[in-house]
Amino acid sequence: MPIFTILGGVVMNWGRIRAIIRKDLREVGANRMALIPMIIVPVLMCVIVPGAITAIVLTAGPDSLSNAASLEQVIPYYPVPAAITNQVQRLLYVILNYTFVPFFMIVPLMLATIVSANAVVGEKERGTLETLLYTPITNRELATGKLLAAFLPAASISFGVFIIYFIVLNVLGYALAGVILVRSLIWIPVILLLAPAVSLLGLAVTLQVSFKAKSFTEAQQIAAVVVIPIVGLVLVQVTGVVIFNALYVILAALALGGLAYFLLTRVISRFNREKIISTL
Amino acid sequence: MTAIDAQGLGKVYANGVTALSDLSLTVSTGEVFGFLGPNGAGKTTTVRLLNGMLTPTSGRAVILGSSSDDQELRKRTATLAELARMYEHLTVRENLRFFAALYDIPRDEATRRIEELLERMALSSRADDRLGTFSTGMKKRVYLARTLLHRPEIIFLDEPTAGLDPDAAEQVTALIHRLARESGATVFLCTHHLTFAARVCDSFGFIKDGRLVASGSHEELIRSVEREQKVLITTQEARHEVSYRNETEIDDGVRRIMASGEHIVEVVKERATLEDAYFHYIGRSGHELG
Repeated sequence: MPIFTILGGVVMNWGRIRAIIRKDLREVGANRMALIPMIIVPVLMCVIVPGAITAIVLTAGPDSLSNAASLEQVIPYYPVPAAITNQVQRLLYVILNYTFVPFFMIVPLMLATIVSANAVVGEKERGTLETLLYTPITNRELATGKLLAAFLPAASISFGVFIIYFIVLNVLGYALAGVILVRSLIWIPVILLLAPAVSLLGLAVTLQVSFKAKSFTEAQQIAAVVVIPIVGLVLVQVTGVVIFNALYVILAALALGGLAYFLLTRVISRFNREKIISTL
Repeated sequence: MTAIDAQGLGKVYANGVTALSDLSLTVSTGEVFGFLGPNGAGKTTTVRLLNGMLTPTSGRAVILGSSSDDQELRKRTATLAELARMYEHLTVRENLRFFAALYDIPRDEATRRIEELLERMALSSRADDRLGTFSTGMKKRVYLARTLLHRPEIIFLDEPTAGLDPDAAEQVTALIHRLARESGATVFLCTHHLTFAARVCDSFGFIKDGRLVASGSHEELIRSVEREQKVLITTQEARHEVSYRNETEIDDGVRRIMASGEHIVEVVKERATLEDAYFHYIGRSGHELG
């Protein structure tokens, strides 16, 4: 039996939303060519790269990093546990717990935009959106289904990649230097709040663009605009201008989440079947 | 009972193009209505106005007693459009299950209905193959199965045989004919395929440049274009066309030809066809013969 709920005063049929999500996930799963890079790129960015840096620095010393000197200058600004006394390990602690934070936002953002752009524009390009519009599904149900169908895989892959990061880097640190490096509590709000909020914001923009765009490339190019501020954050973070602390992370997550919610309600209320069908 | 009642329906698109003007027509419940016209005449626009995808800029359409923009109507109608496809990555069964869920058909009932339709469409043996591996004709049968899932009261078919080879078109035509009779659904069939429409439909509308130029039953349309009646007399020597107003004149014509010494082989009364009526109203220019 379909489950009906009321969201924003509108009755939604969760049976239909579930059908959309399940169908989209099955399509993503069936498309190996798309699925493999979606897993390899995050693993490369978030496990292989930091793993290599850690292994090199712990075995060859900090001089192996070309910008080690400038990085060392910022160490005092971060709350590195007093228990870690070794300068090399303090440096790695900062890199692994702070410098890499933005990567864990880029990954879900990237996944969410790719999946959702494909989920909407792909339906247009393959002529299936028209068929969907002929069924009793409402605008809100369709948008919600598309949103969750992109959010769920993005969030779970990102979470999975973080778990791998946590295990691999700590095993590596322990094996090479007897130290657990990834252990800042900042990861809790980052992974559970900030990353989902950032991907929701990316999704809101991508959905807005996708319902209007004619091709996948067009949708992706416009959605990429969302990625630029995040890349900016990375640079800012690396140069030590802004230092993440748990409160900032929670506030940022709330602000971005609020913005995402506002944009999503706008996308749904402006969803115009007539316009969509005329551009097909 | 009236299934479709359009009064003064018109559509001017945002770019200023008038796709349809002042269309009035009614289709009775259970009727198979053929909507014929060349490409670009406004057939697709009409379907999209009737199935609620577009809002008319003038006039109104009442479908099954409700205004065409009633969102609930989509539960009672189905549309098979030329460009509306299904998911190529999914199997036939997965596709049908997905659409059954969108129509709120309970699981068990959906399973039964899907098996029944697969059987009817002769698709059972390939139900677990991906749609992408199918020929265009087989895909059309899958699409037809989809439109029938929720037992719609009105089925809009927009060029259902487009892109099919004659053999596949024949199969699909026969299927539509049978299904329309069996289900008792009202069918609104758009096509430029005359022979196909002539076989399947009870009544017809001809559309040209966004205007309905004629409508009526097969008989009514033919009679409306028959100004004069003719017999074709073939003799061993030649062929003669004899026009008459009164049937007794046929006899005179035959006698006259026999008197000239020719030997009669065949005398055929020539009647206008739906095709004649169509070309009378639409004109021949730019039309692709089906």
